[in-house]
Amino acid sequence: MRRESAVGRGRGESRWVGVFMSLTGIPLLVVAGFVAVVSAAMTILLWSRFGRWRFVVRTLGVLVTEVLVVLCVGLVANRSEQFYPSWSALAGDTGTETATAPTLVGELDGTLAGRSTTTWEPPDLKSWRLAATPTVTVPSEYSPAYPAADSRPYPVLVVLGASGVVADPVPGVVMVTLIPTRATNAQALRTLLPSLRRAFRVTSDRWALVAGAGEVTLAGRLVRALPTQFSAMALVQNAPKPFTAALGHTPAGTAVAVVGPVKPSGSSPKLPSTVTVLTTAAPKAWRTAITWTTAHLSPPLAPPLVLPTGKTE
Amino acid sequence: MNLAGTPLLITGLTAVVLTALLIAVTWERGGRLRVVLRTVGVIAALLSVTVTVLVQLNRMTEAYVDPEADSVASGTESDESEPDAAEPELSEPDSASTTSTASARSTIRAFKVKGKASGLTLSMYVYLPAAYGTGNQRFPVVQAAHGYPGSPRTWLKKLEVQSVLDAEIAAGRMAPTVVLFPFQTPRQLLDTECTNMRGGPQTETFLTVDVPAFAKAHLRVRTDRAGWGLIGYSAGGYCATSLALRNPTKYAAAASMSGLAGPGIVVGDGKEHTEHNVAWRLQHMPRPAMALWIGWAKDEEKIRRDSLLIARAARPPISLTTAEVERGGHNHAVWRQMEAPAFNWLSAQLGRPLP
Repeated sequence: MRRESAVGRGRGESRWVGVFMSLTGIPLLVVAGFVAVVSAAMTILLWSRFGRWRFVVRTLGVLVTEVLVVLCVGLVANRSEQFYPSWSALAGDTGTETATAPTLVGELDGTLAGRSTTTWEPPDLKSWRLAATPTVTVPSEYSPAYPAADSRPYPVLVVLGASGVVADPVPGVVMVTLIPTRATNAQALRTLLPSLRRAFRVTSDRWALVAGAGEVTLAGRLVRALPTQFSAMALVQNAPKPFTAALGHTPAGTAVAVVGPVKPSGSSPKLPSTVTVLTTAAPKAWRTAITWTTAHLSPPLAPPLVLPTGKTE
Repeated sequence: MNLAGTPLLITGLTAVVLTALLIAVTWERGGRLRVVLRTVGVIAALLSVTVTVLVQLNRMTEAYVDPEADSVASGTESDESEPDAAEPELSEPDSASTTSTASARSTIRAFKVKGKASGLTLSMYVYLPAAYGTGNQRFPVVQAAHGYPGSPRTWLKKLEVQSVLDAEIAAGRMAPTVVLFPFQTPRQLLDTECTNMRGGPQTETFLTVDVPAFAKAHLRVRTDRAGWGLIGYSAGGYCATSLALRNPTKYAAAASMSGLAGPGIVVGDGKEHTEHNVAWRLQHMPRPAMALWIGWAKDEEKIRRDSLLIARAARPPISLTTAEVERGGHNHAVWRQMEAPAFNWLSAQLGRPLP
């Protein structure tokens, strides 16, 4: 075992202590064992000396020997199991600082004060070829009085298509509504991520996606183009026959639902078993889709406590 | 008497001193029976030392405790006469840990879970966040696994999980979450590693079927996968990752603090090094879409090696987060440091409390 020289040395320990008297090293074990043997021998040698004081000497000798033997057993156990690989570990020092993840601020956070909805014109808007300028809707607690003490990044709900019913802020998410055209391309839309993260205080992943019936193909392509981005996707249907083409190869990490007056049985095409079917009347479908997808997201959380990630390669 | 209490340790230390004194004083006495007397004295001394060491080790790990006569609940015992514990008694919150406002406090409750699927009946502590007391929200759930030797009390006493959760939730770094602390073995000397042991307790079934069924029936918790995660330290870290990968339709995320890749026991089905090994599963079986958090101390070689094996095998659709503590080994100081970051991470992976 070479760990006494390689690791197990605390920052505050001298090299001598680290190399020769490592808590898990042989030298310490030898010293402890030697002292235990000496203690036992002394106890036996002095057993009948010291007259009336011999009872005290005997008792102390037995107790000290017992403590030393227990210590040796403990050192052997600690050496094999690495409970405390170093003296500093024994002292409870981990040599590691828990940090708080950096606080995010969106460039446009300040422009939102008092408003829940704003139009958003990012630099790469043209490449998305949308039918209208995107709108961003935030709940009232997002910016009570900017700059607010609350620095929580919000999960994102991306809405593809004109819903007509989702103008109200959705609790606990930043909602961005995009009205695509036939020319809108999922690969180009990938820049939505960095653009939105720059402009608003949003999480880097675990987003949700809701798409209208006309946008299911684009939605399917978008989740495939960003396979680790969306925790949930709901496709709003307006006919009993669900549109399944978009559902073929969605990323495993994206939960998928079709919502609307869908009848999953009978003549309709077979849906993958992983797809959730939420049968609801058409007017309620958008609301249901938003509730279902956002339930997969965490609430806005303060920047987490984090540890160093370590090297894994 | 509490097996992890100070009175028992003082009794043991007293016995150690008294037996040493006994040997010293009676060594020349006893006449013809002198040899017998000496032998008895030495055996008594050895026994008292051994027992005292074991008592102290138990104090350090909170491993062997009597869940029926429990002091976590400030003297409140779980209801023995009602094994289903449909209306369990409310325990006082740990006095050392309360939330900032006196009116809204988290609580630790003790339940007895009668497992229909596993046939096991084991105790379980439950952390209810302060927000549980108001409104009708259904909360996300984290199931916490303990190490071996260890018990749910290790989480409560040594890792002070109630005050950690209170602080993290109050700071907004965690959503209000219900945390379950089930026992993992019917016999405290039997290390189950949360598996279904051939010819032994069906612990995996208890933890992944009976405990969730109990929580969903008796507590206001989320019932879907997106709202369920696992956490554990040491053997419990292995439990968390292994149970999650073996039951990917039930759990969305798992955090392992100093967990090995394998169970290190004989499960009995011949799959200890294959399907029960987290790294082997990730390498050789279809990987589920799941979030894993793997934490280790850099100076603990075995755990570090296994953690790196897991980390390298955890390719998409596994989403991996790692955490490394510079030094500290395999003990509570390390897990205290990992605890809040791991819970923060879990909360970000899980779905929100639902109205």
